[in-house]
Amino acid sequence: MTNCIFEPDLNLDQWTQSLLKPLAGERYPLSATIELTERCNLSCRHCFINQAAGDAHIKKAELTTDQWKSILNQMADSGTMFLLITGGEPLLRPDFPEIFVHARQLGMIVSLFTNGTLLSPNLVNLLAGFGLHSIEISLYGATPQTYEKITGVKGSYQRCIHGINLAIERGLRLNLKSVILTLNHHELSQMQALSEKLGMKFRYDSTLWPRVDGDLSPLQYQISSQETISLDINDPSRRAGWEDTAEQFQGQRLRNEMVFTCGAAYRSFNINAYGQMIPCTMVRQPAINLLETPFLAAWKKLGKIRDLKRTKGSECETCHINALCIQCPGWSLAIHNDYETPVAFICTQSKERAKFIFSKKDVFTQETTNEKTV
Amino acid sequence: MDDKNRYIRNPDFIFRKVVDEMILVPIHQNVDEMDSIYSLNDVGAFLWECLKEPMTLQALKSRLEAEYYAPSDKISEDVGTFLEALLAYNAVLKQ
Repeated sequence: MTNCIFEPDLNLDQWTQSLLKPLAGERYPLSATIELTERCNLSCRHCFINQAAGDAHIKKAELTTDQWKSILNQMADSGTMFLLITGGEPLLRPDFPEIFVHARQLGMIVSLFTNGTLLSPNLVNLLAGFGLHSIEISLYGATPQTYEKITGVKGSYQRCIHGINLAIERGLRLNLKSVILTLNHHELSQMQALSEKLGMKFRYDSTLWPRVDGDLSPLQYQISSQETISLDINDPSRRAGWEDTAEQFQGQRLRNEMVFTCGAAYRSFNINAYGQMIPCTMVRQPAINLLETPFLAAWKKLGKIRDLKRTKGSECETCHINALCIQCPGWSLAIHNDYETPVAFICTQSKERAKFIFSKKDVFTQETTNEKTV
Repeated sequence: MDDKNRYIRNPDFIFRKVVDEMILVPIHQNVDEMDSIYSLNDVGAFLWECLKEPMTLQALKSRLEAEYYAPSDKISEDVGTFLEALLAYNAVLKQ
């Protein structure tokens, strides 16, 4: 399972690894995320991207069906195999079925992120009939009161549950996920129980992002670092995930040289609703216009960020607990408008997490000692 | 398998070249496990290309023979193995 909440859980890791073996370190545009629209029929308070469903100005700026198809054709010709369709709410676009079917007819393995409220019997039949690989539905609460306090739309909880049931009935490979914030923290165990009852995998993120335009308002709903750490150490599967990561990368300095160390602009890329290729969901610069630049030229241009070396001498470069930290260029960009400067609350959170995960080890102690001598 | 039949690609399978792999992806099935994606070697990819039009077994053998220098029993074996596997996989249809 991926650690990044913006990536789908594909269950194809082994196959993908063998596919990529001949490439060694070469870049390749294997996985794409396309944001069909930033508009959404819900108004979630914590969302980093949502725009009003009926915003005509935004709607007009979005790619047309033909433009999406043309870009998908170029992606397929360039080897893109995995496609995640997301938004906003991607099902808000009436041409979603056409775009989805087109991607499948190009032989892409397609996953879908949705809030589930717009799923219909016809749509789930189409998704199943054209071999949707997986669908992830966001569940923001276990009761209508909590869910709708977040989404701001009356009746949306029932529509979400209805969508979940339709997906289950039609046998889609469904996972549920959530974002934990101050407004639904108290219902986490109920959401987990509901997922378990339905036989679904459930994953959640508990760190909120600023909006893509820099607006920090979602952060007012952020649970405290102590609460996040408590989730990390008290949830057995979450703790096991961190422990595995810690074991795999123990003591390694993962951010001592290059700015980008994840898959962004290396094996993967995003395309926003307006046709710009960007490194990932949260790193939205550089943005290369695919209506003016052919796909492969844009991919090449995007790759320049992979050569960026760290220059700021930040604490991350000598930190021993990088593996337990979610700090990334996306966070730095969102808060400090550069790719490197560490975000203080992420740093604090990670150190707290490391204290527990390495409770009997010397890794954190060593790191703390280094800090004191600087 | 005899020469009265003609064979053609199932249009529900898409040929892709990804990295160094040549694969067939089913578009009406969920690709949940790697064994549902079929890998082709160079000969398989050549035969797949030939099957964009209906072809008899003999015609396929002749096309392969013209493309690759190999003994005729090896050609027959390769074409037979290919057709058998892809018919079982439903990626090739018998007419």
